[in-house]
Amino acid sequence: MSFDRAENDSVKASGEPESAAPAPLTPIDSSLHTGNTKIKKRHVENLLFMVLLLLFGTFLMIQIRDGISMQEQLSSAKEKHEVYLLQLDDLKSENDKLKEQNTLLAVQKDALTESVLNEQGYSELAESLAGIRKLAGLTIVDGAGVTITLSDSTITDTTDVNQSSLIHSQDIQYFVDLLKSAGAKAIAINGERIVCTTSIICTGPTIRVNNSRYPVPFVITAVCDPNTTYDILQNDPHIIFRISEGVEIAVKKNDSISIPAFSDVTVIDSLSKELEVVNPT
Amino acid sequence: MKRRMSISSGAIIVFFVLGLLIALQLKNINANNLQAYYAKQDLTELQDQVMTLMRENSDLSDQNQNLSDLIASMGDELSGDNKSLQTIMDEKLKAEIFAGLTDVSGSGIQVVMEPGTDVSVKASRLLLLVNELRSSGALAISINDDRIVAMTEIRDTGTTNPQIVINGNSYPATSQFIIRAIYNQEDINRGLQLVNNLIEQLQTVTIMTVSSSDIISIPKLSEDSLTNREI
Repeated sequence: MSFDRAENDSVKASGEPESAAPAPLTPIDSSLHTGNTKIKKRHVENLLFMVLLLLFGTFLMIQIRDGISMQEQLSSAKEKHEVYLLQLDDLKSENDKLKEQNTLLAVQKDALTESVLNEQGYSELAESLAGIRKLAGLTIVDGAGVTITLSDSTITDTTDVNQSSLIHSQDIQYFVDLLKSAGAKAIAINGERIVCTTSIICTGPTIRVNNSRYPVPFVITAVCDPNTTYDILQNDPHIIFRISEGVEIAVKKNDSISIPAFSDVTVIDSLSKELEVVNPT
Repeated sequence: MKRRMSISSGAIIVFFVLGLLIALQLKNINANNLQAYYAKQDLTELQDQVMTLMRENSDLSDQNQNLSDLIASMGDELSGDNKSLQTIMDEKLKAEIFAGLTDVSGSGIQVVMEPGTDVSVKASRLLLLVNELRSSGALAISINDDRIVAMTEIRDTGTTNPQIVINGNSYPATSQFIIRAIYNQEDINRGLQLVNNLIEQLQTVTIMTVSSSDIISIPKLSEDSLTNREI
């Protein structure tokens, strides 16, 4: 733009002697004046060009430097990401092994407790203890039931501001409450037994159940009357509405389901420490 | 003239490239910020998961060790040692507390839910409240002195004479419901805050009042209740 203006100026300047009749100049003076102006203009042009090239160079340098730094940051983040993923895999397999071991030990302990009590003539106490443990959710429950699998919609809707095509903790809570109303004897979410302290909370893309976090798909298993429960779930207006919003809900009847026992001793111990028992039996 | 033309076209090219670079730079800044933000989010999320699992595994290892010790001591019991009968009784009491089979008391909050002018209390609102109380750390909960345990059902029944069924016991939906929850002293405020948020949400359909108290008593699950008998 400045060059165009310079050109206009130069046209104007070169046209000036012709139109400026009141101040005629001698041919020598005029050519000298034009020559000086031209040199001056060339200097300005060169200077501007230099500034432009300098700016150009600076931007190019910033661009390259940013690119390199971003690349470095990303590759370092990628490396960390991979390390964490590996660590997470190891921890998960260790966790599975420990949980398996925990279940086996708990079963062994219960059997031994029963033996000890029966051995010492406390068979009534053994029976009562088994009933209490069952009610508390501390025993494995086997039987017929249903399996419900909940997944987010596969279609991404950018206009869905309420994220209604995603599964939320409220959806899982709704199913759990419905299953309880339908008379379920035991319920688990992704293998986590529902007990009196269980809360189901959304934590980003995962859902926390009994202090463990799970990503989609969420699998709810329940020991219950499969036929009645299936009908209740199939005809529930809220579930039909959620399916219409895009979330994927699959209900399956099962002849045999095993719901694991709640085994977090820390939670059981802390509850018994924190609650003040009135008139203990 | 020729020179001027070449300078002008050179300048146009330089300006064009410069403009492109500026645009690219600005775009890059946004993209870089976004990438950096998401990378950080993802890493933080992973870090959290690693930490949680580490803690969980450490707890599980301790639990397994304790169970192994207990099993070993019970083996001694079978061979004549009488020490672990007390351990079994302690375990029984813990299981009873966890099952909701003991009367308990402590500091906590009390919520009174009443039907609005033309609507009755709905089970869905009671469930919403109970779930909020649980997620804010309530140690024990009751509705109208009916203890809420792991498999307690809360559901609506009846149309002409609406009732709410809790542990198999029916309560008229047009009556008031008293919900009590025992908390750790440090969790009471969190509970109050969540209940107050809920009161705000439901103010058009339900009248709810909340108060805290140093002594809240919650009875055990009734032996006659359906929840107790059905398990």
